[in-house]
Amino acid sequence: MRGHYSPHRRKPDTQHWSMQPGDGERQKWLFRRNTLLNELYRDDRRAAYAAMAAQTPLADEITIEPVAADTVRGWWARPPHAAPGKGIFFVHGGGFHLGDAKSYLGFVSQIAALTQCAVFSVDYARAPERRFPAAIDDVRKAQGWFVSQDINEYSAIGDSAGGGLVLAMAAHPTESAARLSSVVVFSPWTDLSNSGQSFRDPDTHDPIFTPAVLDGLAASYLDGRNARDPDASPLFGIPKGLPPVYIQVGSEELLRDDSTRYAELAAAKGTDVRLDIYDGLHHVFQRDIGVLDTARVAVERASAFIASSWSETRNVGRTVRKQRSTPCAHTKTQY
Amino acid sequence: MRLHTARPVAPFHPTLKRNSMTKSILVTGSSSGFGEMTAYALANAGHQVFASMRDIQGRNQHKAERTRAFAHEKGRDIRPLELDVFDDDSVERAIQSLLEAAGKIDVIVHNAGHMTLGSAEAFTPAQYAEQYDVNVLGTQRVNRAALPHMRKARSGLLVWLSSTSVLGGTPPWLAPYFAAKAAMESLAISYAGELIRWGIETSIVVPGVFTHGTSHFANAGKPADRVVMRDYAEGPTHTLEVNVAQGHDAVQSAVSDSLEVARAIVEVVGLPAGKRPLHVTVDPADMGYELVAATRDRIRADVYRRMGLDSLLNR
Repeated sequence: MRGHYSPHRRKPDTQHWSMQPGDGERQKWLFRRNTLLNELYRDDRRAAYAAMAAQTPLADEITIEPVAADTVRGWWARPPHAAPGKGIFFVHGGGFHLGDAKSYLGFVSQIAALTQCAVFSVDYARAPERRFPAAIDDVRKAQGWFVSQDINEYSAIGDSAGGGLVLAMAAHPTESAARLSSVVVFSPWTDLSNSGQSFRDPDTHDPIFTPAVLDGLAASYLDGRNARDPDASPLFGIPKGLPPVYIQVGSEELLRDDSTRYAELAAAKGTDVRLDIYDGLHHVFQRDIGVLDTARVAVERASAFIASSWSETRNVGRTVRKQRSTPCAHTKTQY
Repeated sequence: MRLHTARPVAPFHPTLKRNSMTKSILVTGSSSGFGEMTAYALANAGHQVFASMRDIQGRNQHKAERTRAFAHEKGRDIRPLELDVFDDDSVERAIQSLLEAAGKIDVIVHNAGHMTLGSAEAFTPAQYAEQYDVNVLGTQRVNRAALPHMRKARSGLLVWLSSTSVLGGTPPWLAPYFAAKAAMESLAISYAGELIRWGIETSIVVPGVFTHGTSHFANAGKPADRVVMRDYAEGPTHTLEVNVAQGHDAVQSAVSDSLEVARAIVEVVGLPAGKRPLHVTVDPADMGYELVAATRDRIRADVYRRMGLDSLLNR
């Protein structure tokens, strides 16, 4: 909060990252490809979004399996030697209107391969057919089912609106004994009132979103309900006692401050928060893991975060990331 | 050779409070670099520090004097200690001195080490052996002298100065040093499993590239075989030496502060028993150690569990 200084106030561990060499050109190619896909499917936004998601290649040796239980639908992506008793719960993005677990399978399989952990990707009710709070209700039901599938501990991952759903889900601990060890979110949408500074700032050059688009999606999803309801906007309901949270966001996103504000507030409440800001990268660039080296590196970092948060590795490794503003002394040491 | 205890010890400053948080700490290789910074930082944090180095009467006399002067002026409990990690007797005597002065030994910072720069082929086997001697066997000499006492106390902490090169990305030209550091870290991990039931913890501190913050690079050992070195300097590899030097500069930034390593060690020492992480990476250049370590840790935990050894893991 502005104006209040506490010497014991915790801050998020924030790191800025540059693009990997060559990714500037690849990103341009990506935008051209997506423009083409959007034209091809111009009458069907869901098909267009699914087509873009489906560009992420399926990882080798990952077995996929649909789930169609009573209250839960989705897909498993399992590596051949998945760690027993562990799982990852994945919630896809798409502004609460678009996206589905099947078209996200390529991305999810890459996560399964890198973490060597079984991933369950949930299908949830979308607007405009089903409005708030249908999505979060479905996610919570699926979480309840998921932890009963021989899971001792799990990580939760979500992108964009899915990131918001994961954070809302994590805000309420479940009854089950399964331990939520870590949360990883890519460009999460944490504030449906869109009040972040990056959102309205004309100097934010988001290649994907305009404020009107996100305002429209929020209004349609909420259908008159309060935009600051914590189940819709987890920024306004951050509890103490969250597991370690790792947020990755692009520097030029309208939604950048959904990440930075969430990171600050969660850290102030004592949560271990790591925030990575990727210079020049776009919203959920991680999904472009088939094309961008930076995406591969980012998802590898996310996997390492998850790997180091399981209960048996929790206290094992630590990284000092402090960046000092004064240049280092070259020949003299100071005490 | 007179032992340091025969010299008058700087008087203990009366306002420095001693409590159960004050540790008795040996820091090897304290004459320069991370060792020197760590010894002073630990002393500033209120611990009882034995800043060991070799040749206190000769080459490092001014360093020893400086340590004593610091102790006296700032009221810190730090003193120099003669200890040559190459020499079994020197190590034994040093540990004895330390125990006489402190009564206990809580923490060992295995920092003494030496680097090399030059083509892998141009170093002789004797030079490789010397690298192993200082970076690996040095720690073993100190451990064999000190661990019986720490095991009796059922408590203690070993801090090992490793290198991101052990798991992260590396350039060529530092082969004997990287090989020795990899050996040292392997040894540290083995020790971690064997010492935990004695109540002795292990923390491996992993610095990245800090070419300018210490004299490690400036004092690096060079290959003995000048003929082979000339081949490399004149053949297709003639740009390698400059490349590696420039490369090291390229990955660092003005904010690569080597003092962060000392601070990290102070923080680890200050953590409550049972809470020390197995490794702490201090690497503004992001050479990738912790990414690979995450997989290493997970698999180590997995293998220990499959072998029924999970009681040996950090909790």
